[in-house]
Amino acid sequence: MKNPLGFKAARNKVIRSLLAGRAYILFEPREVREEKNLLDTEEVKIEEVIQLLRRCVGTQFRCTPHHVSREIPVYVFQPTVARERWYIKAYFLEGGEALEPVIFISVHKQQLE
Amino acid sequence: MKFLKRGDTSRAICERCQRVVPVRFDYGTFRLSEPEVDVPDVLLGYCAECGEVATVPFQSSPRLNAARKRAEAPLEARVPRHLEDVLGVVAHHYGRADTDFRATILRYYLHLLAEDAGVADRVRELARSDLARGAADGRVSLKVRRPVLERAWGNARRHGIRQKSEMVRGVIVAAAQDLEGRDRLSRRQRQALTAIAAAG
Repeated sequence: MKNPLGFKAARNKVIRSLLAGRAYILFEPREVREEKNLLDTEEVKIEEVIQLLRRCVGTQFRCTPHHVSREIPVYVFQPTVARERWYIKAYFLEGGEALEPVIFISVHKQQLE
Repeated sequence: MKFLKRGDTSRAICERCQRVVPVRFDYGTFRLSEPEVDVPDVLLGYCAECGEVATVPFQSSPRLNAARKRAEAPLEARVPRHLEDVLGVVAHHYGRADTDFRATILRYYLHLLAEDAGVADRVRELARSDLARGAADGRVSLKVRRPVLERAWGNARRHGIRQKSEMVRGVIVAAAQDLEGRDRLSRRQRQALTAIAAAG
């Protein structure tokens, strides 16, 4: 992976892209096709995703390589809010801390069974 | 507010090319798989090398969601006729007597069931309660967004509910029970349904 961001820098960068408007928010086609992304389906609002990210702590964060382009770091946030665990997975293509579009792979609740 | 336009360029990971590629945004048809439907005139990011859709901008979501909504699945269930009355009483409590709002109440509880597998245990128990029993001489019919219905039914089955009619019986009794419940969750459902009733 090329220059992955740490927890706070990654979280802040995702939040800044979310606040920058719809042009800065993109989705991977597969998740949209299968209707698995609650931000895309508008069941969860941008503000709610921001709140979830703000409630996330460092131990609920990890970084993994993208399954197609392994040099791209994918940021995984798994905050627990009101006894519900969330799964937010996103990445950036350019890297660094400058504003750029965020690409969401997943925004959904995790099934606890 | 910034929006993307036809002709804008960017980069994305193309699943077909298996690498980062340049993309160009243009309007085209996007095929959803759940529900299986083609949505025309959607702004999409096309791979400049293979022409495959490599990214979908958030500004296209309302158009995609409108198509998803049109592709709702029918839910039909035979229930004891007195449960139709129970549902009517629940709707009346929120100041709405119309059929549409009765369906909205059911959709709301199915959404809860879809999002929280824990709700399934309660629905199963209530489907076996005294109020839910009786000859299935009534009928409930509504449309539900297909993925919501699939998720709700999946959770219901994993928690021992065997038929959709059982799920619907349990959901109706849950809505009735929440009218009088003093716990935090019942209050939350009442607040949500009060807002939905007022808005619609």
